[in-house]
Amino acid sequence: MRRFTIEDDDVFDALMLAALVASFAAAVGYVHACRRLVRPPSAGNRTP
Amino acid sequence: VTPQGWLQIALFTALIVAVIKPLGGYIAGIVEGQVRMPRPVAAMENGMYRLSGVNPAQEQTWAGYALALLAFNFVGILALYGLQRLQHMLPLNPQDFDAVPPDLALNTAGSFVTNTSWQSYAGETTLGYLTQMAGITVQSFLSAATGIAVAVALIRGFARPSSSTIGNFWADMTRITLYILLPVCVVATLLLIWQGVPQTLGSYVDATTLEGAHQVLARGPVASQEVIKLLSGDGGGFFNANSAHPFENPTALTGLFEPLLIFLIGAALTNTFGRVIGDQRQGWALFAAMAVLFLAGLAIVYASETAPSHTFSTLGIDHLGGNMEGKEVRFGVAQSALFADATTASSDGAVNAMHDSFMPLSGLVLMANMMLDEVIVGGPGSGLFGIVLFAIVTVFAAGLMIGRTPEYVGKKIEADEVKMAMLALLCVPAFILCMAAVACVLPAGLVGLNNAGPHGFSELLYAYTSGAATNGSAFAGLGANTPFYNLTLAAAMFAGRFLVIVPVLCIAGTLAGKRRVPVSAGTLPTHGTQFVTLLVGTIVIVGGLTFLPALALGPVAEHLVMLAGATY
Repeated sequence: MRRFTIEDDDVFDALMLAALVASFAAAVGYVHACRRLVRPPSAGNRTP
Repeated sequence: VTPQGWLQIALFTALIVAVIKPLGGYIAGIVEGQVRMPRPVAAMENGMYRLSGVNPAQEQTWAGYALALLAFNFVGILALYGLQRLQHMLPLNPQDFDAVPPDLALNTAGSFVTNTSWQSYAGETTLGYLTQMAGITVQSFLSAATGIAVAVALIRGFARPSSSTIGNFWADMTRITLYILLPVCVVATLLLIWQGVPQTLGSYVDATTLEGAHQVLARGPVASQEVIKLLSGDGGGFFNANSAHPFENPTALTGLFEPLLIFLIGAALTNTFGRVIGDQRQGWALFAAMAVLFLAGLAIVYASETAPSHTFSTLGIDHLGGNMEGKEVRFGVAQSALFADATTASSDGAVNAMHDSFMPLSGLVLMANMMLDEVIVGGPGSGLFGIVLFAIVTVFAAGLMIGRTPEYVGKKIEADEVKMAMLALLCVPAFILCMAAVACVLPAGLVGLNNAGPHGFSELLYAYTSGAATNGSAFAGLGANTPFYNLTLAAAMFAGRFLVIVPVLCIAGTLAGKRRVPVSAGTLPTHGTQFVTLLVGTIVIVGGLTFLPALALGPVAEHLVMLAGATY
């Protein structure tokens, strides 16, 4: 076990975490986009 | 091709068929809440709900289910990323490994959370025991449970009449992990330990070989990771050589047992599907389509590896035993072909031979297995929902031919379901082809290639196919541990997993809201030979049309050039 030190990789860590957060936000947006792509139950897309 | 080889394949197939019904029935009982667990186990489940504030009886809409799934996986990625970046400060790191670089840590975190297990690192020289156990192994469990949960939600969509919900994600994850994955893993881990797979927290061993040379023998908590590696469809080995390593796959018995674990849950879920919707024939029809594609691919790979081209003779290589380059001599051609076909047909990605050294036509089959969206058994859950997507497209095409609204297992298939099925089926090919094309022209992509010509292109294509199809196996010739490959492959894995899962859950939601329609004279039977043939045709045509040009540039061109005497 070694001591923790601040290194250049910290900048990359921040970039990677930002990319992950952006990916998660995009995925949530994708769920909502799919929800809009299908008609809601009230729109009559149900088998009579 | 030898009788012993066919016997191995026949034995494997028979064992899989034998286990489908009992395991499929057990899984159906678990996910439907019909199996009563012993009191201590049930208390553990209830305790987990209380601890996390989950009410298992509170069901979710498909969007709620999807958002819970995404949030859970996001936290999993952060946890695995953190474990890798901080492993030099954490305990259980007897080899004193340094922190994993950020791009590699992101790739690995994405890889295991998405059930891909692409490994740009060598496990025994990169990851400490804590990262292997609390990171890699835990995510293997959770990613498998995620896939099964999605499949279960889809099955409920078909089975439920006029429901606005498809289950509770947290309850499904808990029950699948506790009652399906853990029991199988405990039993199978003990079997592997009995066969000689190490399970220890002791540090690596310094040994002196018979020639007097010094050698470090890597070991660790291998057996516990090995089973879930295979069962989960994750495939990421403790060692770089994966199941070709004698500590991961030490005996003939483990050689047969490991591919069985790969197929176990994926095959059984077809039976679960049939049981829950009330017609087991539907499940057998899906399994029959999977079996046809699997055995056809295996026949090509086995024949191709057993009788390599005459080019081998001109190179002065003894080819009487088949193409043994890149294969463990303990396994030979038949078991290597079986494992390679099984690992690419499923979403596992574990290997017991180096796919880069297979004949070009074998490489084509291995890639095609993944390109077909891994519907040939596939990963736990992902195989079932993959083939159901194709079934939806198949009944839609059949409906167009006869001019009738298509139905599948009692639910009408309308515009919403077809839109979502096409979205799920097209996003993976789009990512594979676009990213392989980009890597072909950028210096950062070309620098990773170890081979020129069509074989080099195959290495590239295989990498993005493996990533986007969440397989994780590799054509070993590609040097993929670079920021470019680590980041682009991570993007492919995220896309291949979540861009498919969300539309599948959406389909589950729209189907659940519909009434079940009774079978009529106009209903296309979906449990017979005719439907299986249609389904296999749809899978092959959709996969073939999408990827044939790319395959022509890679393995097909390499095969033709090889016949003319050139090798790469």
